[in-house]
Formats: sequence, C-alpha cells, structure tokens
Amino acid sequence: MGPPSESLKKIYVCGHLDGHHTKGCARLIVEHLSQRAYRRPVTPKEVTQLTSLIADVQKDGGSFEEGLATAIQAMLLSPHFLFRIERTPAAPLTLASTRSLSQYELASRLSYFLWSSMPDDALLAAASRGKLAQPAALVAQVHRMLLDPKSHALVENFGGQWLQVRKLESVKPDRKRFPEFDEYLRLSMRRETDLFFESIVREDRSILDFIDANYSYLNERLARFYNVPNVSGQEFRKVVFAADAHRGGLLGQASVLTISSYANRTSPVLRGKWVLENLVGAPPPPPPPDVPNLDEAATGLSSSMRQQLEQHRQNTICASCHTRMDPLGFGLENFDAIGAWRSREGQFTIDASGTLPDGRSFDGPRGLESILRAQPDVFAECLTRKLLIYALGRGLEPYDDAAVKKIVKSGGTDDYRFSSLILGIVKSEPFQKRRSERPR
Amino acid sequence: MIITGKRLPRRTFLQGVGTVIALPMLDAMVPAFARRAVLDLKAPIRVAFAYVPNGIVMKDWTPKTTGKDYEFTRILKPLEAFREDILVLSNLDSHTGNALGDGPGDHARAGASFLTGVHCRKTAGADIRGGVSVDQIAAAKLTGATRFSSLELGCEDSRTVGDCDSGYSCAYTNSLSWRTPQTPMPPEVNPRAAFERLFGTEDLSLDPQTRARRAKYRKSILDMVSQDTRSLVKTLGPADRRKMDEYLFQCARLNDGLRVQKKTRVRLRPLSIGLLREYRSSFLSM
Repeated sequence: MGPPSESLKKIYVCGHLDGHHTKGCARLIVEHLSQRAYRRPVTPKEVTQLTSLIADVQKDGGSFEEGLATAIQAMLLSPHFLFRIERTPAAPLTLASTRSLSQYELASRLSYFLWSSMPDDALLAAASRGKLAQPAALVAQVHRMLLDPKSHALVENFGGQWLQVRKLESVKPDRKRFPEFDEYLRLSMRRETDLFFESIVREDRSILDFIDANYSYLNERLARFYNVPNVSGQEFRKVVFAADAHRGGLLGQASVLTISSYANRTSPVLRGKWVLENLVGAPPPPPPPDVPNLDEAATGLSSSMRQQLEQHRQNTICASCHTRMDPLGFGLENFDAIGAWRSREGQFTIDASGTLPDGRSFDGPRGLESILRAQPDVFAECLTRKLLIYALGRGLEPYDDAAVKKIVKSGGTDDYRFSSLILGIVKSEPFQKRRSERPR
Repeated sequence: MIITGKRLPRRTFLQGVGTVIALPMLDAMVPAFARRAVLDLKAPIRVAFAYVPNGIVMKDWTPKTTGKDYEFTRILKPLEAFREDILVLSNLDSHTGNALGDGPGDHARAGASFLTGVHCRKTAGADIRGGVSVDQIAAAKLTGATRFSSLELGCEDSRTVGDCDSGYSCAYTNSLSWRTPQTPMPPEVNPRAAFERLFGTEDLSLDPQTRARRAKYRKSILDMVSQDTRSLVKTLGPADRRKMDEYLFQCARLNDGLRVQKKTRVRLRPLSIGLLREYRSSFLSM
C-alpha cells in the first residue's frame, strides 16, 4: 500500500498502520468524523453506537477498514447528517414561542446560506468558543465566508432561483425563428448572469447595480450577439458598455430576456410579471378562470402585440393586473424572445413606451431602469425578502415584516451594499431564532 | 393506458415515454438472465402506468373500430404482435382534470388527476392536497413480492415545491404518483440513479460471503438510523415531523428491499447489451 492519500489522512487521525487501529483509536476516528458530518459535538453514546458497528464487522472476520466503511455509511445515512436539525422549543399550549439558536445551529444556518455546504473548521471552532454570539466576530465570519470561493454556491443557487435563470436549461426557442440560438449561446447566457452576480458579491457592490450597472461579462459569442465590438475568444471578461449599447443591468441580459419569453415570441405579460416578481416584489395573482388566449399566429401580422394586449385590457377583470404587468414588459419589447436587439417586429415598428398605473411614463429599457432605480428601497425590500426566504428555507410570515424593514433600512445607510443585506439578515431575529409552530 | 403482462414493452416505455410509474422491477429482466434458477421463478405480475404529457396525434393512435378485430393504427402498429394481450381503452377523459372554476393550470391538473381521479387544490404553497394514486394503492397492497413496491421514473424536473403552472405547486406538475393526498412521490429523473437503485452499486466481483455480510451490515445501519430517527422525531415540530416520516418511510422501503432480496436470492444484473439493442430498436420503431 502506498502512502495514504489526503482524504485517508483526514480519516485516520491516529495513524494509518494496522497496529494503530486500537479500540481507542476507533473511537477517536469515529468521533472526529461524525462531528464533521453532524456539524456539532457528538455524544459518547453516538460514538459507541458507531464503533459497535466496526466491532461487529471485525467479529465477522472483516477488516478494520471494512468496519470503518460501515460506520461511515451509517453516518452518511443518519438523519443528523442528512437534515439540519434544529430542536423546536417546547411551546406553551396556546402561544408560539421563540428561542435563540445554539452556536452550532447558527454555524450551520450560516454555512448553508452562504456556501450551500457544511461549516468548515474555522466556523465550527468559532461556534465552539461561543464567538458567533459576538457581533464583531459574526461580522468577520460573514465577510470571510463571502470572499471564500465557496460562496459561488450562493450565486448559483440563490441567483439561479431568484432570477429564474435555471430555466435556461429547459427553454427551447423556436429553431426556425431563432436559428442562432444554440447550446453555446445558452451556456454563455447563463455564465454572463452568474459572473455578473458574482462580481456584486465579491466586490461588495451596491445591489442597485443589478438594475443599471454599466458593465457585464461577455465572451466573443455573446458580444457578437449583443453587437459589442472588440471581444474575441471564448473566455469571459468584464466589459464596460458604451452609453448607447442597450446593455447593462439584469434587464439587458439575454438570460433574463429569454426565460421570460415564449419559444416563438416575446411576452410583455411574462416580462412584466418577471419584473414585478423579482425586482419590485409585487407579484400579480394567477389569472382568473376562462381568460381567452392571445391569437399568437396573428401577432406581427394583422395587429401588433401592443394592440392585442390593449384589447385584452378592455376587460376590467384582466385590466386590474395587466395595467401593472404590460407596461413594464412593453419597455423591453426592443429585445426579441432570445434577447437580441430589434427595432421592428414584423411590419410594426417597436413602441417601447409604457405608462404605469400611477401615471409615471417611460420609454425603452433605460427608461424602465430609471423608474426602478428611483425607488431603491422597493428593490432592496424585494431582494431582502428573497434572500431571507433562501436563508431560512421557509416562506415569510407577517411577523417577519418588522425584520425585513429593519434590514432594508440598515442597507440604505450603507449604499445597499450586498454585504449590508447579508449582514442584516444574519443578525435578524428570524435568522438568529427559531419559533415553535403554533399548536393546531 | 395499456395494461399488459408481457415483458418486452415495459422497458420500451421506461426509455421513451414522459413519465412512468412501474411496479416492481426486481427481476424485471427475467428474459435477460439465461439462468435456470431464475427462469424457474415465477415472475410476479406487475402494473405499469405511462404518461405522455405532450399529447399524441390521436388520429394515428385510436383504432377506428371497437371490438376484437380492430386495425392497429400507425402509432400502435409495433404492438400488433401482442394483440391478444392488449386492450385499447377510449373515453377515459378525466373530468377532475378540468378547470372546474379554478382557471388556468391544465398541465398541473392533468398530472395530478391522471392516477388519482382527484381535482387537486389550487395552491403553489405547502398546503397541497391531491389524492392517493392507484399505483400506490396497488403498491401498498402487493408489497413483499418484489424488491421495490413501486418505482417512479420521469424524464425531467422532479421538484415538488414552487409554482410550476399558473399558481399550482410543482408537486402537481411533476408527480403522477401520490402516497397520500399530501405526499407526492417525485420521479427519479436521473437514469444513472435509477439504474443504481435497481442494480445497486454493489461490487459483483466480490465473493458471495462478503456480499452477504455487507447486506447484513446494511440492515444494521438501517436499523440504527431508523431507531435514531424515531427518538429524534419526538423533539421536533409538526412540519419537521412530516419530513422525518418521509425519511423513515424511505428507510423502511430500503429495508423491505433487502428482505425480499434475501428471500428470493435473485442476483441482480443489468440487461445484456444485446437485449438493450433489441429494446432500443423496438422503441425506435414506435
């Protein structure tokens, strides 16, 4: 047998030779591994349970390694590994009660929030010394974790869900209408949004950059698609857009524009809904029963999309939501169903103006962006809610509202930097505490 | 819907069709074993439900006439050799899959009502309510004869949370199979994971004693974690408890599998390459 690999060294804490495999050593190995797996100190009883598996295997004539492999299987199948266990406080009969999380529970919440993975040694060590209860130490941990490459998981998982760009994997734009859409473009679109999001996290930029940053990350393929000159090669690099580039901010990214379209055409309704849901935080309710569909075949031929939707809004039930959705979507009509810039659709010149229910009007994507930018707290609250849901793994309830407002307010005093929202969440009551479910 | 005792088409469906719910697959590949011991075993009768979500060109599907001597249509043609074993049933439209005042969401309702006959509650939240599906009723009743009481397989997307269709939970769109009205059984969509579930990741080159010992340890492991879970459940709130019940159910399912495997002593093996080819060509001809 050659020298033990790195992972074997991590397992065999008291040496790898057969002679080292004493009973005491088995306990040490098991304790060490199960602490990592369960993300907390383990009880002597738990260790005994696992070492007895090793002993059973050895009694049957199996090797120590085989016994250890069995014990490791047991750890990996254990609910303490597979689930994040937070004990529920004993509730009084009528009222819901809350309790502060233990240091280890908090460490797990932090690491699954920011890394989608278990706490590392440094975080567990901080928990064991009670450091996470000290604000300064907690802040330092969060900054350390955001800078760690593992925070890419936040970009990919949270970003993918919030912006719905995961849908890119399954969109199938009409091949006849969009022959330039291929796998390479699909992957490039997703990569742009990931890298853009990551820059906001890593450089701790203001979240308002999501709305109207003047830069993004492009490779040659995407640059050609966007009509941006002087980008060659496969690698993505930061590109600062010229003032007339039509790009910058999420609403100019092909990923977002594609997943909010149908396979064969744009949908101002879907795009408007996307903006309301993900940037404004005011999703429209699902459509009422028995609404007629748009005559898709006729779009661009007999009447423009705008005319058709205007007709749709004549119906007062439809209008209650569509007056909110459609104008936002119209603002993005210069982008086709896979996000390429256009000035005409069929025989009609694109009209990208819109008027919101409150009377404010705008023209084109830039105009839409300045409308969103004018109310930074609205976007900040929307993003805070999404982040908090992700961090807690549950939907928000009315009793969470106060915490949300507080996070947004403190973010506002710090230019809405990304870390200010994350820190606000980490320090918030819903994140720090656990509530018993109300008895039913 | 096709119900048949023949073996060949089943794998065909598994490969080709939108979503499949199949009852046991243990020695499903009996013809693939050219081994007497296995051939002597009487294969349990199985039930499979296949679902094609994007629809079928019905004029090339439905036979023109009713009764025994109907002419096979273009799509059904490859099944003609099994005429004696096949019934083609029409007029099985599911009324409960209609809107019934709930507005858009046909995709979700179609999936949720297909095997349950229940009109599901319109919600995208955690308060889902469908119905128990017929395959799960059968699975619960027929459990014990095979390693798995049921298998749920699909081609894409097995999420059970979030809004997948006009205010309907993804659980409705993605799960045809429901163990209880609140418990969808999401399909396995990763062919590799399905394969490993059927045939295990066990090293078949090991000697029989070693493999028997490992099976025994798997049982001790499952016993240990089940016991742990039961004591853990007492300390949890109702929502977490439901999650743990699911986990316990899956542990029990694995344990049952081990028991049946021991009883039948059937060695599981993947299909031979030749047979895979045969299935592939009959699939392509459909």
